[in-house]
Parts: sequence; structure tokens; C-alpha cells
Amino acid sequence: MRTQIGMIFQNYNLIEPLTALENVLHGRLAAKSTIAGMFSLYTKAEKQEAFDLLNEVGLAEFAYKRCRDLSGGQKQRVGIARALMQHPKMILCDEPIASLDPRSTTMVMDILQRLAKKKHLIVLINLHQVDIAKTYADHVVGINSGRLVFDGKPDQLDAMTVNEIYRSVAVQEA
Amino acid sequence: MEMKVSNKTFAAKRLKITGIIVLLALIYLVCSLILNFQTSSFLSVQTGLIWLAKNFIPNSQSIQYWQDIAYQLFRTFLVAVSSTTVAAGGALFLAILGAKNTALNRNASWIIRGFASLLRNIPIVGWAMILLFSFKQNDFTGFLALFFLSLGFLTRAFMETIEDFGSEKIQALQATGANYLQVVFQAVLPEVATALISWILYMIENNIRDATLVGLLTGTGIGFLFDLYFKSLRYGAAGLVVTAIIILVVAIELVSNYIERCIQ
Repeated sequence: MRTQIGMIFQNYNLIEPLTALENVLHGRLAAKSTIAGMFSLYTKAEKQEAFDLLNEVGLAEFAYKRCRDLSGGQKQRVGIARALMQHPKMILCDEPIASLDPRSTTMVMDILQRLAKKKHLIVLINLHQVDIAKTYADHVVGINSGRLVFDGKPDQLDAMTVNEIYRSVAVQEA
Repeated sequence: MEMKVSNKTFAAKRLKITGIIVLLALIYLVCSLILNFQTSSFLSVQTGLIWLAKNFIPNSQSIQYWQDIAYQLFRTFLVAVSSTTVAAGGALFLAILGAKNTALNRNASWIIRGFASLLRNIPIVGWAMILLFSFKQNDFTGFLALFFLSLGFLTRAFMETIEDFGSEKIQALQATGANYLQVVFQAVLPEVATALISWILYMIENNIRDATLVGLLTGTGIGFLFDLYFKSLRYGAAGLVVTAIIILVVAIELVSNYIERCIQ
């Protein structure tokens, strides 16, 4: 069950001293035996797949770089590759762009959109950036203090509804 | 309400500091009266240092002992390194089971915490004296004394290092479906490895100093040699022992600094 849902985090949660490739391979641990997982005994096919995924998120040249030396946007792309390595049916993103600059934000969101379409994945993202949600989402849900305020297509989301969503606290969109 | 600068708080603070200084002076006076210790003794420190310089400077006669000294120093070094490395292995195992974010069982975690604190809080001299009863005067007693203390210290240090690393990354890997041992080996160990090596190097440095002291009690190694030379009035040779220990400790410090720079 757990392997079918990939997760992407605001603070990436990568293992910093390991290389990007090793972090992507972590997505495969659940499918391996305990011993093979403990001692990084990955098959050639698994390593190839991890490398291809890094290539897809545009990080092939950083595959052997340690994650602590990568930028925030690069780390988040490694996080996406790790989630995809699980062969998930669904990806949950917990504020994936909250700590990123505008350029990295666009890059990460473009990659998520492209790969979701290509691999037929359901992607559930919670965000505070309304414009990003309107640009990328197929469906938006607005929540204020646990109460559903909006549920519809992104183009139905007007300024008044946005005000309503943010009247006191939180928001969630998908 | 009008706010005014109050001189009262400043006066009270000054009074408090004066009180503390007077109290410390009183404690010193009472202690020196009980111990029959005269404050003027501080003046004789100078004469003591001159005597030390005259007698303890290694001379041409004491050089003949260098081979014995080097051999015993080497043995002491080995006792310190072996006790630290064996303790580090045990400590890593205990720390993983004891740290809050990697513990399998909360009760086991508390037992390990208590056990480590107990081992750590008995001073090295205490350990040596306790173990002397059962293991008599030999290198193994010294090894055990250092081992127990290091096991306690390193377990606590490793545990805190693992806890500092936090549980978010652990949860992230658990979310992929990885099991306990996989998470420990793939996430916890790589993240804490450099910090653990730093602790081990620190412990080796510390244990070399302690091993000298333990040797005095267990009659082995460089500590025993110092005792022997000192009691047979061969002060030059004893001075050479002290010099050799200082050189070794400084050398180890430099080597461990270098290793730490390399692994950063």
C-alpha cells in the first residue's frame, strides 16, 4: 500500500551525504529483501532506471553528486525521481515549492505536470500559491479551517472565492 | 501609568554580585582552615617549578631508557585504541536501540539510557579500582576500565547524535515502504557517520590520557613506568616519560584533526 503512494516534501527529506542516484534508489527499498536493501545491493536494471529518472528530471550530470551539494530546486527534483522510483499510482506533495525561488518553482511544477501526464499518475498537491494552482491544476479544492470553501475547475476560481479561502487560515488545492 | 527608570533594580543586582563574591571568599577561607592550607603557599609555586626544571629535564643518563619508554607508550596507545574501537561497536548498537527516533521499544530505550549513564558516571579511577579486585594488575584490567567508561560515554554521545538528526527523514523513507533495518542502514548511518567518527577520535584522545592514569593503578604501561622511575628517584627518566606522553597526545590530536578535515 505504502509503495503505491509516493511522497514529496517541503524540505525534500533526502539523505544529504549520499549521492542523488543513491537517494533515487531508496524508492526501490520496499521491493527488495532486507539484506539487499541494507547493503545497497541494487540490480543493474534498478540502477539504470534510477539514472533514467534523474535524466528525466534533468539531473543526469548530477547523479554522482552528493545531495548536500545540490540547490533546493535540484533536491526537490531528486525527491520527485525518488517518488517515481516506487512506481506509484499516486503522488502526494506537501508544499513542494514553499522553499523554492520562482525559477525552480516553475521547473518543479512543469516536471510534475509532464511526468503525471506521461505516467498517468494522480498528483495531489497542497499549496499556498493560488496562481500556481490555477496554472497547473485540473481541479482545485479550497479549504478554510477544515471547511470546504471551493471545489471546481481552476478557471472558476475568482478573486472573491480566493478571499473567502484566505479569510482566516489554511488552504488546500488539488 | 508613567514608566520611570528605577535605580532599585540596578542596586539590587550590584548587591547580589557582591554577595556571591563574598560567599566564594568565605568558602575558600573555611576550606583552607580545615585543610591547614596557607594562602602564602602560592608563593612557593615558583620554587617548586625551579626544582621541577632542575630535576625533571631529561638528561644524557635518562636517554638510555627511551626504548623501554617507547615500547610501554606503544602498549598504552594500543590499550586506548582497542578499548575505544570495541566500545564504539557496542555503543553504536545500543545507541540505535536507545535513541528515541530509532528505538524499537520505549522501555528498552530507557534501560539503555540508564545503563549508559551509570557506566559513564563512574570515574575512570573508580572503574580501575573496582576491576583490580577481579582482574588483578595487568593490561586487561586497564582495557576493561577504559572500555566500560567509553561504552557509557559513546552510547550517550551516539544517541544524542542520532536524535539530533531528527525523525522526518526516517519517516520519509518509511513512507516509501522501506523496513526498519533498511532505514537504519540507508538513512540513519550515512547521515550520522561523520559525527560518530569525530566522537570516536575524541574518545581515543581522551583514553590515551586516561590510560596513563589507569596504568599507575594497574601497574602496566607507561603509567607504571613513570611510577617506577619516580619512586626510584630517576627523575630525568620520569621527565622523559612525561615528555613522550605529551608528544603522543599532541600527535594524536593533530592526526585526528587531519582525519576530521578529510571526512567533512
